[in-house]
Amino acid sequence: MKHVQADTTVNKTKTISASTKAKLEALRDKPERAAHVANPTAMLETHPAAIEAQVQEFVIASRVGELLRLARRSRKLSARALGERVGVSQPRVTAIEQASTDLELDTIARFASGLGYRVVVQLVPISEPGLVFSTDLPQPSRSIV
Amino acid sequence: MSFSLILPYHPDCLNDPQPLFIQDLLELVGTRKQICLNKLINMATDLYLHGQESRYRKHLFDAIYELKDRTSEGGARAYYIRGDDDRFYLIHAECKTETESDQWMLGEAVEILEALEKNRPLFPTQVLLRQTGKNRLRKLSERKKS
Repeated sequence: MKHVQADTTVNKTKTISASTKAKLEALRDKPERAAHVANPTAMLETHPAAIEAQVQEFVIASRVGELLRLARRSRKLSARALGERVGVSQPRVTAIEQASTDLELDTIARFASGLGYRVVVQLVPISEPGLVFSTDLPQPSRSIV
Repeated sequence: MSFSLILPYHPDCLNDPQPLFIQDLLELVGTRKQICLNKLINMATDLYLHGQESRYRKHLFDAIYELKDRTSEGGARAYYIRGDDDRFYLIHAECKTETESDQWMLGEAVEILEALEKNRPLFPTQVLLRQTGKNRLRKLSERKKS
């Protein structure tokens, strides 16, 4: 059996407008100060642990999403066709593959089943020796393979 | 005592999936700069715990600052704005080998500083709230007319 691993990349276009460049230059020599926040009550606070969790969640979601995309392509299925099989829209399939939405375990199982796969969760020891534990996620009853 | 951290969106990109700072961290995930990513989270934690007394803090200009430290993968830098509400607005993060700060990121920090001071929305929810507010005002004025 050939194993394919998922990867994560984000692309961004970076351009700076002339007006922003001029503002940046104008501020270069300005002394230290605190910004006057016009509407402080509207600002949503976060916590460093929440930042870390957000990154971790994205990494997990994007790896799983990438696996689902690779599996779909290997089955030569369009996102629309997979959506029809699992009962969701094509944009929802794309969103899951691109990790731009929350991903639940039952969704992974449903998508995998729609692609003719089962999901196995495996606990593998990292450094210390130990047993490997694994379990199959139950196959959703309503999937059409 | 701890301080408050805010992760704003860019005022022109409120539909982005994540705030700018998170997007930058995810870019580091994509380029496999794990050490730098950990350092940036550590520096954000230090800012959260010590505020302006953070050992990584460096003033850049005006209300814009950076958190900076070296790693084996390059210099880890996080750009932030210090607010007069005693909160810190984390704007961008990067890991690079060049000594100069990223001008595009600083440009965005300037745009967000302006938005903060002019009360432009910096979160998707603010737009929703404003729309709800406008709808309410419209309904009230329609009721008065009728």
